Parts: sequence; C-alpha cells; structure tokens
Amino acid sequence: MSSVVPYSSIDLQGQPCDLRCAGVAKRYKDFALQAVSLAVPHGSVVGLIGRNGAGKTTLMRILLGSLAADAGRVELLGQDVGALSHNARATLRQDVAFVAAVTAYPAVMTVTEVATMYQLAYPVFGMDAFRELATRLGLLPDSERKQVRELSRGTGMKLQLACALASGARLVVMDEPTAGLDPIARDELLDVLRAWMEPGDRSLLISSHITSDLEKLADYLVVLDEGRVIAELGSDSVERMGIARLRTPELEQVLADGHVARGQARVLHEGLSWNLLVPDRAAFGRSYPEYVCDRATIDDCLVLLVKGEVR
Amino acid sequence: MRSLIYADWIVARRSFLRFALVSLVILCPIIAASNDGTSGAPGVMATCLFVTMLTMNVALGIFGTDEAGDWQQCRLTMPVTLHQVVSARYTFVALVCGATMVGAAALGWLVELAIPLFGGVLTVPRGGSEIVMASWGMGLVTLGYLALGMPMLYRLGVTKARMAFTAPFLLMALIALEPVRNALHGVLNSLEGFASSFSSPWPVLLVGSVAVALLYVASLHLSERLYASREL
Repeated sequence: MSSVVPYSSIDLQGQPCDLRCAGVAKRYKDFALQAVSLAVPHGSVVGLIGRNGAGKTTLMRILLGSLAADAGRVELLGQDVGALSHNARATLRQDVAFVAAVTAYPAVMTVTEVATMYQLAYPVFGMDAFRELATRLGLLPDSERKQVRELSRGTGMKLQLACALASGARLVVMDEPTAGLDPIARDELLDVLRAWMEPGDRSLLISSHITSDLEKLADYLVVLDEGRVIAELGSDSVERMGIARLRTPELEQVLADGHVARGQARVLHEGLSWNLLVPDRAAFGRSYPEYVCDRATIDDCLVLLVKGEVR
Repeated sequence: MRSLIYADWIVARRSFLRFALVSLVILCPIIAASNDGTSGAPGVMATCLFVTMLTMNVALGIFGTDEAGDWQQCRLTMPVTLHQVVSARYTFVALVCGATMVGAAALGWLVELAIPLFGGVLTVPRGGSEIVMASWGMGLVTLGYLALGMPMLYRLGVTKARMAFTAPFLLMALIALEPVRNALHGVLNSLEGFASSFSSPWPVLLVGSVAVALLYVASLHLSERLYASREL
C-alpha cells in the first residue's frame, strides 16, 4: 500500500520568499483571522482561494500594511515589517503594488491622471511601460480621457493592473482581479501577468474565485476558510490529486487500508456514492484499478477541503 | 506625498465649478440683502462668504472622496506613510484657503465696483485694503474652524462627522440674518467694541495668523494620531 500523503504539500523552509507571514491574527465581532501563515516564494505565483468571507481581503490588507493585525509577523521582501519605521515601510512599499477588487481611485480622475499619480508615488514608475501595457489591454487610446467613474469593471481592473505592473514593483498583490470579467478579458489579463512574470524575479499573490484562472497561473495554492489556512498545495500536487467515487463499503475499505489516513481524509456524500479527495490519483489507480477516480480540479479540492467531512 | 496632493488637486479641480456655483447661489441673495443701503458692505460680505464657503466645500469634497470607493484604503497600500497622508491633506487645504483668500478679495473688489454700475447704493464704499483684511481675517477663521473640525473627520470619517462638522458653521452663518443679529445685539456690540479698541487691525491679523498656524499644526498631529487609531 502507498504511503500516506497529506493534502498540504508545500515545504518552503529555507526558500527565499518575497512575502512571508506567520501567526497573523485579527479579530472582529463576527469574524476572526486565526494564526494565518503563508509564503510567496521568490519568482512564483501563489493563489489564495476560499469562499466569500473566508478572510482573503482582510489578510491581503494586513500583508500590505493598510490594516493592523492583532498578532503575527509579516515579512515583506525579506524585511520584518513590524520592526521597520513608518518611512522605511513606505520605502519598502515602492517595491510592492496592489490591485484591489474594485477600482478605488478617486472617481473624477482620468486614466492619464491616475498614471501620473502613480508616477509621483513610485520612483521607478515607467510611463512608457504603462502606455504599452494599457494599449495591449485595450485601455488606450480610447479611454485615455475617461474618468474612473466612467470605466466598466473590466476596464477599471485593466487600469489598476497597468499601473501596478508599470510601477516597478517586485511583488504584486491582487484581490479578485478576474471577477466580473468576460472570458476574453480574463485571458488577456492572464497573458499580461504571465509576460510580467517571465523574467523570473517577480512574485504574485493573487486571490480569485475563478479557480480555472489560478490553474493556469499559480505555482502554489493556499486555501483559506473561516479565517484559517486549511491547505497549502503545490500546482503539481493538485495535478496529482483525484476524486474517487466510492460506495460506502469501498470507502471504508480504502480508509481501512490507510491509503488516505483516517482523520485526514476529506469525503463528501453525493447521491448514492462518496467523493473522496485522493492525494495521488495514479497511485490510487494502481491500488484500486476497479474504482473510478477522476482528475480533481481546484474547485473539487476547494469544495472537499471546505465542505468535506473529515474521516 | 506629492501623489496625494496631486490626487486632491484633481478632485478639487474637477469639482471646483460645482463648489463655486453652490457658493455663488448662496452668496447672491445674501449680497443682495446686504445691499439695502444700510450695511453698505457687499464687497466685504462677498469676500468673507466666498472664502468660507469655497474652502469648506473643497475640504468636505475631498474628504468625501476618501470614503467613496475605498480610496482611503487603497492609498495606504501605496508608498506613503500615515503622516504623509494626513499632512498632504492639511497642506492642500491650507493652499486652497490661501488661493481662495486671493480669489475672494478679487471677487469682493469686483462686487464693490459692479454694484454702482447696476444702480445699487454703496453707503460706505470699502477700499482695497479693507477687502484684503476681510479676506485675510475670514481665511484665518475658516482655517481655524477646519483645524478644529478635521481631527473629527479623520476619527469618524466624513459620513459620520458631516453634521457635527457643519452644524456650528451653519449656526454662525445665521448671524447674517437680521433677527439673529438683533437677538445677539449685545454680544456683537461687545465684539465690535473689542475690535475697535485696536488702532490698526494688522497686528491683530498677524497675531491671529501665528495662533491659527499653531492650532493648525497641533490639529495635524492630533489628526494623525486619531487616523492611526481608526480601523478603515
């Protein structure tokens, strides 16, 4: 029988990270972020997934310093943010850019004025790079004089993206950048992100509900639920995962065999069968050739990790 | 910090026409009422009101923008400190007040010139220096008022603080009404007596400027602390 493989499969110990947080906590009346730890390795894309209200935006705001945490430590580009002076933090943020879920610039600013504001804020902001990106994304020349309030959600997101990527940042944090975009616009946006990542020395933390986007882009996935990290997965480990469709006696047999360790297995009752999240689809297929085991998508993983029963 | 001043400038510039129109709509009937052949100071009145109205409108307008669409959260992710966020706003408001004082003095002078052309009566035509003094004085009062009110805007946000911020200002504006002036006759007379005890208003304006500058700086530091303690 194959050895037990946990669902969480990232070991980033000793790896250089552009963003690392440990034990980050924040308590509200009706919600709490509980000792969240995650890392964005240098030169990689980390996808943050979780249902609405899981704490993704709160976590991102804490990581960027626009919200104070109750506890925990945040390391940005190798520096402990809590130990830095306010000025040093601001200087550090010259290398970090944020793309919010909604276009949050003052509504009366035009596209060009937003770019000028970025140019004044980020010392290495490239106006030419902005124009090139904005043209590639279809923002310029048509929307040059349009005010932020006149932009559609997609166009506003493109503006944010062009500003963030032209800012000279080494790390970009994006909160739901593809939500509400049509498939063509999403594809364009993902292409631009891939091109931006090409040099290999830049990192991206991106949250999204549209997990198919993350499948195309992310090297690692962090699953957040009710303010806790419930799984960390490498994209290769997601590739390996499977959903076994089992009847009750079959499930009991698999669990009894220890193929997926008891107390860690995630199962969900669907119709007459059980869906079992299997860490290694190929190994499962070799052990149980007679059972159906499909490839697991990120959505499958998310549903089973969040809604699944622990057996 | 330059980026934030630039953002405030764009917001104020775009909204300037609206602010100016609102101020003029309020201003015109008050000037007309003051041009009844008794008060004889429509130019001074126009100057004072325009300084106050425009500066207050711009200040409230840019604070309102902060809360619209999460801009105040977004700007904190940019390479700026909290101190820069607050001091950029204070710098901009002070600049607006200064510019409005100059503009309002010019407006007051034009009103003084224009009223006789339209058949109006100026019982006591005011000279340029008197209008400049009025503009300066009212600028100081407005800036002092904002220095007292801005910490409240930073602590509570403009949505919650708007009423508390504008109510004292609206109450002060009631002094322009005859019945209110009559009711406050004694207090106003005492103030006038106090003001006339100075041989020249210039020293008062200079001392007032220093006092308002100190109050403004103290207000900036208080706003910074209050803003830091506020959960956005």
